[in-house]
Amino acid sequence: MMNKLIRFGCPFHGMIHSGEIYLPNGGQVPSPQPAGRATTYPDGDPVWELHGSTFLQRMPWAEGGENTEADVDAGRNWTDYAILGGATQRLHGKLISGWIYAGPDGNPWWINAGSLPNFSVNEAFSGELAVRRFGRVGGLSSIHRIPITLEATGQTLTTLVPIRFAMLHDITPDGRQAIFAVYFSYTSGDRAKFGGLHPIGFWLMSLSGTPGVDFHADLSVLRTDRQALGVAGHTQADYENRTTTTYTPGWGPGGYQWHQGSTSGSAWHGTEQRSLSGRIVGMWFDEAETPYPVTMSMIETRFHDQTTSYQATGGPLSGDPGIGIPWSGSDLVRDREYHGYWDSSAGIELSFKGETARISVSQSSYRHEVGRWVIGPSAGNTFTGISTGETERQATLSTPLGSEVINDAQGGAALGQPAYSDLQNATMMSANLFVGITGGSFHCVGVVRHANNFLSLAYAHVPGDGSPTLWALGDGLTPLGVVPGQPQLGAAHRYGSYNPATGQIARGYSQPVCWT
Amino acid sequence: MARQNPTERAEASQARLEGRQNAQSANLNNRTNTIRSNLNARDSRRINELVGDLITLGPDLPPPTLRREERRGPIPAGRGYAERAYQPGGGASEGAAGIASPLVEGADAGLALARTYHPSQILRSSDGLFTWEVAPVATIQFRDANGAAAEFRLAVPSEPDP
Repeated sequence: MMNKLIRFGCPFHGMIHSGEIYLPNGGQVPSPQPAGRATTYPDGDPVWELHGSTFLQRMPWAEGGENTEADVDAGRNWTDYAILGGATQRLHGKLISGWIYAGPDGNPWWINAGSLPNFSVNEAFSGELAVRRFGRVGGLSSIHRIPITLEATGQTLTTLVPIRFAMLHDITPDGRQAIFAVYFSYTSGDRAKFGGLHPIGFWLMSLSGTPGVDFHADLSVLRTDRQALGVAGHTQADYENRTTTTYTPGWGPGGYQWHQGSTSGSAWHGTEQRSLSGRIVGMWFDEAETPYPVTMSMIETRFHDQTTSYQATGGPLSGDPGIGIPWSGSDLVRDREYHGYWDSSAGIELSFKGETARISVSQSSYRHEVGRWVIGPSAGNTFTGISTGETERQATLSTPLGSEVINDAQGGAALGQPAYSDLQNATMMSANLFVGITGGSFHCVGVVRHANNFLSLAYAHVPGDGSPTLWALGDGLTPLGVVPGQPQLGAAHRYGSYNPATGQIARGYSQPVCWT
Repeated sequence: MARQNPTERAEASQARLEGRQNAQSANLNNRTNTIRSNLNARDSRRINELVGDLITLGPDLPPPTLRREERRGPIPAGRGYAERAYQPGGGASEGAAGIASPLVEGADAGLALARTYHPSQILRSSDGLFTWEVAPVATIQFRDANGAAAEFRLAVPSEPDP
């Protein structure tokens, strides 16, 4: 070799959007767009999740390179790291469906295991790692096939969808440790289409040794499905019998007059609460390369109370309209007043190592009815008299976008709801939390899974008339902490990605984005 | 005394004339050397005096420095040329030292690889994920236009420096 090799590699880094890398100098170069995992909803609408997944790789021996003035001008950046992008891990545009392991022999090894075979709950898992030398220019190396098994998968909840699958969730930069998230797919009840992937367990894969020499892959359970499910809470409202004093007209000793009576009935009153804490929705390596859980907590509160009261005055009346004798005396007047109150709120928190993102929606509504029943000379000579009344309805809706008052709101959330089932708790990320104002229209909060390492809390308004769901992304969470929200509503800007090397965030896009 | 013929006289006269010219030339050289010697001695004396004077001006004088040269930038691209064009077999006789262009790799007729290599080197991409194992060329055997053997000997490439 007579020429001097200055350096080589792939110096183009930036956000990938619509098949172009956006370089730091403002230029663009074409690149395959990292893909997500599609979940198809019953109406045929696919939703892409994990499209913005990123996995940082930094080999211990990587030296990077100095950027010359010409490099900066050309948008080149000779980094000592690489980023695998998308749900199927693309490296510099090439699909590798796995990651790179920095072997103790000083060589990079390709671990082709981005997704593992499906398995059933309460059954052992068995799979295989295909391992081969990576990145050596000038020829292929032999493939080492390493069987991996897990007798106890930590998946025992038969109350959930029984088919589970594991996908790469996080890696240490040297690729020596990898976290797999165990998922099941479920879309029912996801009104806002937040996503159909539900992590319900986590595995840790630890690699050691040199393939072909003393390589070893150890697979173990980090969190079981029961642990990932968290702890559910349920406080029911009071189901109580209430008695109301009533007045009905009838003949009495003095003439036609009010007769006092009572009516009673049982109904739900008070405050009802359903909660879930410690639901593990992700596990990320922290700075010390220790797996640390990302937890979701939610609380849903409903309150209802109502009172009905009657007051009766006037009478007794003389006369008998039934035989044509007009009423005489003071009118019989009965006033009825009804107050009904409904409050409901739903909130979600996402936490990682003391950093917490929150979002909530709430509604407070009331109905006020007044009615008057008059029997007597001024209400015609009938036994039924004249009834009049008015009803006032109003609700105040509070979302991440602000508060609004809605007149003529219809009622509120009903009490007496049962505790959430395991399945509901397991799928709680996807919009089972909502408040409803009018029939068919929902105001939901949920979690959008942009990437393996980037979750956003989101508010969605699902109109009752079939028009597109409107979104607003609230605070998000990455391994670096909370990402401030974007309180603006859009039809389809669910896409985002986190750059694990620089900490940069991209989200609010209507098409998939990723970093390289 | 034998009388000289005209030819002999002319030669004798020529000899005397040359002798006289040689003597005059010698005298002239002597005088020139004497004058030059005197001048050199005087110049040396004056230079020494001048250096002495400068030294006595004191140590506060700054040492002489060279003016910083302006960067001229790279040499613009252009077509190279040889100051002297070699022709096969020309300018030197057979068997003389020198290499005649063109040089052709190989020991026998026709082009053929005739190289040896240094121990291989592992070169890595900046992110450490890609490796390139390459053996730098150590020697290349050539034949010149006269069929004479020649050899390049190449050093091991050093670490990359931009």
